[in-house]
Amino acid sequence: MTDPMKGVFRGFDIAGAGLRAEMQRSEVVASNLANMHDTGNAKNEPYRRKVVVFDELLEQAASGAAKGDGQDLRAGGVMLARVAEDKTPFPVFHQPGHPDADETGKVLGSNVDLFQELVDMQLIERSFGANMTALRTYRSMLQNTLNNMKS
Amino acid sequence: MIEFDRDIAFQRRMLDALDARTKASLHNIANQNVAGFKRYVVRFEDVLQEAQRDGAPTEAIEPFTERDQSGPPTQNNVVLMEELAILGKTQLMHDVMTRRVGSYFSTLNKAVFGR
Repeated sequence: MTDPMKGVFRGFDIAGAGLRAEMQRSEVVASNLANMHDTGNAKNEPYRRKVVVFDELLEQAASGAAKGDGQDLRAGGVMLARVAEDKTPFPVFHQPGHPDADETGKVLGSNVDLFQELVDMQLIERSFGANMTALRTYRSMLQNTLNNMKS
Repeated sequence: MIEFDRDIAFQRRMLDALDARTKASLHNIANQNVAGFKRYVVRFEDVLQEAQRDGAPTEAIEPFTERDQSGPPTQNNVVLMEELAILGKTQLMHDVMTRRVGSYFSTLNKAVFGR
């Protein structure tokens, strides 16, 4: 028998992990947007777009967990595995007067695509909302349990 | 002697299944952006139904969790609307089952204390 209270609150941890992961993703998008005008050249690289990689989070199986009574469910939510770099080549501009221009007048721009970032932001908002809705549903289920079982 | 365990055996298993199903849905929603993730499903009612139809004993059937492996192997198979629908259904069923358990105990209360 595992600790029952831990089992009850695990639902909040799972949804909380989802909310946290989406929040971190939005921070990376914000960083991309803030640095999108950072220029560079062959020697000094411009800002490279960051992308997050999520990974599933699984709980360690409880000791003596048998098949049944929901203990074989190892759901632990989601976590940020790593922040990777976008390998897309940088766009090249011809601006001889630019401080970052090389001998031939070429300047490298950042590989952040504004519209892609805006779309990502919208997606994050939806995902965050879904996690929030699920959390609220779980909370009201617990509330209902308390209300329905009191005698 | 009042046999609580026997009287609410089904309700207990059903509540276990519903609780696990809610957590599975929360997990699936949290993992909707994970590449290659396969959704969790909690099975109980269909297994019970099958056993009942075959005339097999149903007392030992417990809810269990498995992975839904549908779709290409590297593709995430979580559908947000489906998970929210499951969550809603589970919430309703959970409400029904907790009411049943509650009414069982309030009946006992009436029998024992007369109020």
